[in-house]
Amino acid sequence: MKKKRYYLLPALIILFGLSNLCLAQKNGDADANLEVVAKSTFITFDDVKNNFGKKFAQSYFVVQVEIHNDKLNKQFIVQTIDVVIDPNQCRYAQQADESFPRDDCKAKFDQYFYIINPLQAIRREEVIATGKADLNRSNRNVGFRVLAFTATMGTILTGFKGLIGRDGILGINVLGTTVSAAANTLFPNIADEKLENLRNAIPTENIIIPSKQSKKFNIFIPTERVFWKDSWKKYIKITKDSSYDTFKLKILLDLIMLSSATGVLVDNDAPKVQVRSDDSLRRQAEKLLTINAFTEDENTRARNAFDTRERLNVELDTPGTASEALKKLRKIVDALRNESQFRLFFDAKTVTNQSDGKKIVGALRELLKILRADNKNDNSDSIKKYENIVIQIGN
Amino acid sequence: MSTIKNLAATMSSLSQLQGTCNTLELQLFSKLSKLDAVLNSEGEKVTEATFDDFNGDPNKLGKLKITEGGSESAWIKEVKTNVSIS
Repeated sequence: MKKKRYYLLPALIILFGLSNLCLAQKNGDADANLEVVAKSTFITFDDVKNNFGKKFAQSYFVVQVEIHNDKLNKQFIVQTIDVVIDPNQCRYAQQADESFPRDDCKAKFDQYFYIINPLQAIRREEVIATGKADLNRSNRNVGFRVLAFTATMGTILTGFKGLIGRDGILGINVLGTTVSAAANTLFPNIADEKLENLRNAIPTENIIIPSKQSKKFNIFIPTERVFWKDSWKKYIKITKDSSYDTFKLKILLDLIMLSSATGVLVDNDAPKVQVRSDDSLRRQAEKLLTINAFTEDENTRARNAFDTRERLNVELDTPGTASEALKKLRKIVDALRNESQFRLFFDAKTVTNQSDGKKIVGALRELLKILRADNKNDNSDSIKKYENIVIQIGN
Repeated sequence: MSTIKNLAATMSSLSQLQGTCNTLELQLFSKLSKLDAVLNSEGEKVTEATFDDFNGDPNKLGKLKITEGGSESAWIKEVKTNVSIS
């Protein structure tokens, strides 16, 4: 059991990396090679404390969203940025990589976070916590079921040119005046320079990301929306005092924490686009074909083909029937190799009409499994052909 | 290693779901281990079926029973139904 835990982390790390290799398009951008990307990570408790003061750090969990605009000729005007903590990522991760330890991921999620009814199907919008900030301070999209934010109390959005540093605010700032005032009220005693960091973060311009540039935004999410006693204790620990369990929580957070940005690409018809940090995983998951109920004919044919193949396999072990079974299996290989879609497989497996019977059975099992496990292409016709050949020749 | 297949939420009965899963067991040479009624990332209902690799007696494949009640879930006529696998 303990051994299992050791591969959870590398898998999570790899998948977080994958999740950041993403881009997507919405609302009719004609360019299939859209090159606007959203990445997200969270800022440690210690860094938030150093920049905004201890009380602020105790009250806000900070997610840094980096938006890259790699378009050659278009600027990206940011309109909204969202952050969600989404347990569905464990599922999507497994769909993207079948070896991903989904149960471990889910168990860790259940340990540190809480969702009302885990057995209920969860929509993307129904995630455990969300943070949202948009430049208009609108209240739309706050219908998140479990823990919704309102723009006025829930989040603060600010931007930096570089990584958040000891000097606090750098570059563009888009902290809303409403929230800035609220912060003054809520935290009147924080150190002057740190309060100044917030005051300075009032937007003075459109949030434009020029071509081939990136900008970082920090979304401040009230900590009580995300953490409870145990997970909070782990989150605030600095690295040198962290346990392996704390490290795992932080890796999990990076996996399940998503960001998205909506904006306009300024050029000609100015299409609206949306980029999300989970696009890579999500697109993988969306590729899964949906299988409709098999007909009785399909069920019967599958059963007959299976029984035929496995009967021949058993007959290979019986002196009186081995020779005839081998002959039939080799004929099946011949017939399948005559079909162009199967030939490459048998070549790769070096299976011919002279191969050993057991090797042929193994290849036949594997071929059908590959055809059926394929979630990108509908191989129904190939499966039907395979099964008919096995049934006709094998009996 | 497991294989995930998304099954349509329009299955007309538990029997039809069972037949489909049994056929998938035969074709995948794997055992059904989990059924989960979920919404995919586009909000569409799908029954997510997870099949685990199998190295045992082939005669044990394609003989599962799906009955009502239990800790698994599936969409039957687009209605979420608790089921068990045996």
